Amino acid sequence: MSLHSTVCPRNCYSTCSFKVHVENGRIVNMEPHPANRATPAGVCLKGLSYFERAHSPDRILYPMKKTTGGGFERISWDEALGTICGRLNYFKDNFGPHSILFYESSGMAGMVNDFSSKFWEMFGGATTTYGNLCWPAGLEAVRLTLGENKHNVPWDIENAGLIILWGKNPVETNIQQMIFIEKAQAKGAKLVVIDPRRSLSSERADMLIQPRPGTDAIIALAIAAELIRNGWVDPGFIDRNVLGFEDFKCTVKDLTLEKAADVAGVPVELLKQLSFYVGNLKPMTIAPGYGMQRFSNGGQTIRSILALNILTGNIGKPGACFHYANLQSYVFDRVKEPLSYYPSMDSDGVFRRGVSKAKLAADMVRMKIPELKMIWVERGNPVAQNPDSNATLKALRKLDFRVVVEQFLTDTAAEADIILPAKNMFEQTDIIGSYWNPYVQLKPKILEPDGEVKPETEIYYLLAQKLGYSKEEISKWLPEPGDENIQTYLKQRMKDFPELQWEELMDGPVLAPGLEEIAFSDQNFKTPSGKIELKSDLAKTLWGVNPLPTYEELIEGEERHKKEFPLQLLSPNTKNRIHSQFGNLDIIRQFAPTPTLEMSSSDALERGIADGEMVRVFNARGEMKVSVKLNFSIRKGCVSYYNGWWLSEGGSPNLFSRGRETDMGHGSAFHDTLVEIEKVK
Amino acid sequence: MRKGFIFDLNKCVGCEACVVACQIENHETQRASWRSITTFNSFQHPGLSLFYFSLACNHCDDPLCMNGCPANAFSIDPLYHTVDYDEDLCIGCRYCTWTCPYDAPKYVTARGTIEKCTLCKERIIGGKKPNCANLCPTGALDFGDIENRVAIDIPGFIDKGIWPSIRVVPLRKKEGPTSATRQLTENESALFQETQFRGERKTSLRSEWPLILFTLLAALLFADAAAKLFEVQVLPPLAFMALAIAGLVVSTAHLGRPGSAWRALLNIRSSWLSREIVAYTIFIGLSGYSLLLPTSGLLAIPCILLGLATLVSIDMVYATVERRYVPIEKSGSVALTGILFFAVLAHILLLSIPILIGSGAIYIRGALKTKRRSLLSLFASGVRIAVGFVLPLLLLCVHANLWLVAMFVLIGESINRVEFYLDLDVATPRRQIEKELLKELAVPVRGQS
Repeated sequence: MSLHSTVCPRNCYSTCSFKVHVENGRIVNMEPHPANRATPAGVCLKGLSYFERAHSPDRILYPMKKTTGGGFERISWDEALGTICGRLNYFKDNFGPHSILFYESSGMAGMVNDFSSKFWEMFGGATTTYGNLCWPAGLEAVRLTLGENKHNVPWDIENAGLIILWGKNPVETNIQQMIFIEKAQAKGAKLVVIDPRRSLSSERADMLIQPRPGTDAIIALAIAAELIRNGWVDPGFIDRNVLGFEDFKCTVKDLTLEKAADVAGVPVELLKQLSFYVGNLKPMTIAPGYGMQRFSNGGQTIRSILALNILTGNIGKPGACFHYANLQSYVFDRVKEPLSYYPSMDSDGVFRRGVSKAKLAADMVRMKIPELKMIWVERGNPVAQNPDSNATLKALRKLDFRVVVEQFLTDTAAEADIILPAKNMFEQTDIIGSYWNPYVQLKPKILEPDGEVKPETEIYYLLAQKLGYSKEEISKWLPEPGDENIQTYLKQRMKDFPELQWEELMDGPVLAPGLEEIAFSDQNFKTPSGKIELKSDLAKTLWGVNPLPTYEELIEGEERHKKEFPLQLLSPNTKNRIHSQFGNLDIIRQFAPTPTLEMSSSDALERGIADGEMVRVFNARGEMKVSVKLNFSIRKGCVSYYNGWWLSEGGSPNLFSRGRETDMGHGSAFHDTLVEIEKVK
Repeated sequence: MRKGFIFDLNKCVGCEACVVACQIENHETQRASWRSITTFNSFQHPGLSLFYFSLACNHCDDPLCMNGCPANAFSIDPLYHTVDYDEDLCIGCRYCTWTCPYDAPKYVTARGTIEKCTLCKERIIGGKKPNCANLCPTGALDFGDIENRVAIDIPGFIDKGIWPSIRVVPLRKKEGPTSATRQLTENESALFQETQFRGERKTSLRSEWPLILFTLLAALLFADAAAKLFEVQVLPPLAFMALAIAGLVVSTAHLGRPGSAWRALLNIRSSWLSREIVAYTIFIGLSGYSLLLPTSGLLAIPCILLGLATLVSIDMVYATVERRYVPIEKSGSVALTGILFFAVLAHILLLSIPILIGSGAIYIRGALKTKRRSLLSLFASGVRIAVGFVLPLLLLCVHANLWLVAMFVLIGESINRVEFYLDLDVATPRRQIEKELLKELAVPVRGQS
């Protein structure tokens, strides 16, 4: 039996370090890795489920092709690559390389992923996507305001006197954050949760505010106005560091708590209490979630909430922070998010970054000269995870040829003409950064790939050979097969950072070179003015929004929409999944066997629906039938259906969402979504 | 140092990692989940907070599973303070699944035996923590010093003075967050009640009918044996023996491992179930002996006493589960049924009339207190009262045929027995938490502050 240090590469705040026991080529048990101060006690249940996932009998282990009957049959690598090669040449010769869409998503993090685009560059180009499904509106909001995305180390929350989980539910999405919140509470800190649901993170909180979805900005701005009126701001900090305070003060001066309470549908007493807390409990940490910025007003909402930290001087000090995203461990990225998501201003002629992730379906169909003929999907499941599943299916089916690299038969893989078996996290070495904890971590290869699985780097290498590229030509772009070549590449990249030593990384997490434990403690802000830009002219130039943070109504949330579809669909993340991953495993299924929609007892009574009954959820874009779990505390008018369920399991929340970009950052506004629900008779 | 679980309610967020950690460590032997999370207020009533218990076997100092096990399948390891279970010794009677308040022993139908948490004994011998505690991502479940543990007084947690090896850190803040959530309307409150108390129960008629049959048979056989003293010959000797053996067969067939049924005789030291089976076995043995060889009339008295001992033991088997040593609610006592049968058959009006009136009164009182009232249960109660009490009393007063009276009494007592099993309150963390919720909701629901 051997014990290896590794790191979970999923798209998740925690990016846990952990150790795995390997015996006879199988993961047999796990250990926590206390060297990671952010995740000292170990992984969540999803991490533990690697015990099953690494060796699941459902895993795709061989290349598969779609049969005429719609099923899949095993084929050889030679046949798979031969077919793909033939199609690639055909599309390139007849329509040009831009007739091929290369689609990648966040299924597995790592530096080795870069080689995928290298292949397509070598191939002569492809159409690719811009934007991101997750968090760019907020990233852009913070970047415009503070200059970059970084925050205090996770354990610093322990020092806070007031913690606001604003639309964030760490119990399910960042479980270790609760360790530090609990420690702070034990020392007397107040915890406030703002969420239309009574999220599980609110159970030990002092206050829960349940606003109408999409109205967070007006709450933040009204509190800001109240702070200014009561003199609960930090004038010294504002004078030294803030640009645009006077303009801001001027625009919010007439905004009252009463007005905000009315718009958001919450008791004004709670807003008064919260204003007092924000103005007087120090230091304050706000941890905003990502769900809140997936609305059409997402970026402006994040800017509005961030204003509370700015006015009270809660930036750059222990316990005082805006915990949006901490990109300090992404030391190898030349261009950091969100800038790396944007379409390049000057086309290099190689990649056509013409398809928006948020509007994937519509843009795929819209592409002309050349039209899209083929898609290559890796690390993603766009059918379930991109807005408007039915439109996505339609756009995929319109293509001539689809290749999907996958571990399991997802909704997207099921659409493929050829499925190539994807590696799992234990089968190739890589280096992983985190957007929450401050460590650079090594994820070593500890298992031989199962069946005929090949890492993507090797798939591309073999494909390049099949396409007739010479060894010399390929070596300019791709590493040769074999994990030792990947390690050589990674060691090469590490040379710029003498703090990072391979042996040390093999043992566990290493703090990112240049880490600021307390972000912005030097009060150095990389904005155009060098100050915190409460007023950002760049925001107006780039995105056409007000240079000041403002509250904007949701695009799909006005009364006229609500007549037909009166219920706001929330699609939060569950502890049981990372997006559409993990839910297919028995370990997870024992806790979440069937898709369930949570509904307010009041809305259920109005529709004659009892707990456990089947309902039809529908809007103009889609419908599904799932069972109901009543909830007696969720805000009336809101229903909650966890993100990540597959269509084949009963329905994804994206059946109802619309492909629409956020106000900034090319994010996806899939939370502007209304539905109606009726009992299945 | 005495070691055990340390569970901090403030830190547990119900993530289920402990359940999975347990499954990983014990995947070779675990078929049913040994550890589980019980949620208090999972439907989020606005007046109450939500919290979790993560529970498996608590390896009690005075374990009810071990005390009640008729086959001595459990033992305490004095060195590591674990309650060990030996599957080879188990007869699959499932009594431990009724007596353990933590729902730790899990019955596995496919094997006909139970299984439960071992405290990851090999790990603790090696100086490690049980895997659940080792892999709890928030540090809520730990394993360590419980030397100074005290009785646990936390809503929803059953202590019962059996010294579970667990220290529970109570909630720092008992009430939920101050929130805008409105008070529930009357309709919503009704809906909440409906949603809550659909409670799955551990016992069902489908699985427990052999026990109902057996306990009724035991009461009947006792009455018959006792009535003989009064020169009333009810059952022909062969019928008596046939029923006696049927009782044995039925109760044996109910076991997961009928072939090991003899092991049920092994724990008369502490198990009422063992005592019941020992008493019954000797009772029918002696009865058969005296029936077949009528010369041995001297045996009648010990025989009747053993019959009564069987019935008292049966009552104690259930009283131990319900932790209610006076089985008066709905007069669910087999001993009383046996004595009533006897009094009717022997025509002792001084005994039968007071028992009919007394247990009738107790039954009516109990039936009035019952909360679950389906149409069927109302009907059954009606029949029970009319046929089981009123009719026999009337018939006794008009000196009707005793067989007729006996038949009506039998019908009434049978309904009583069925109801007793339906109402049997086997404690589980989930049931306890539901009860606690009810109790808390009886106080005025906290409004908006």
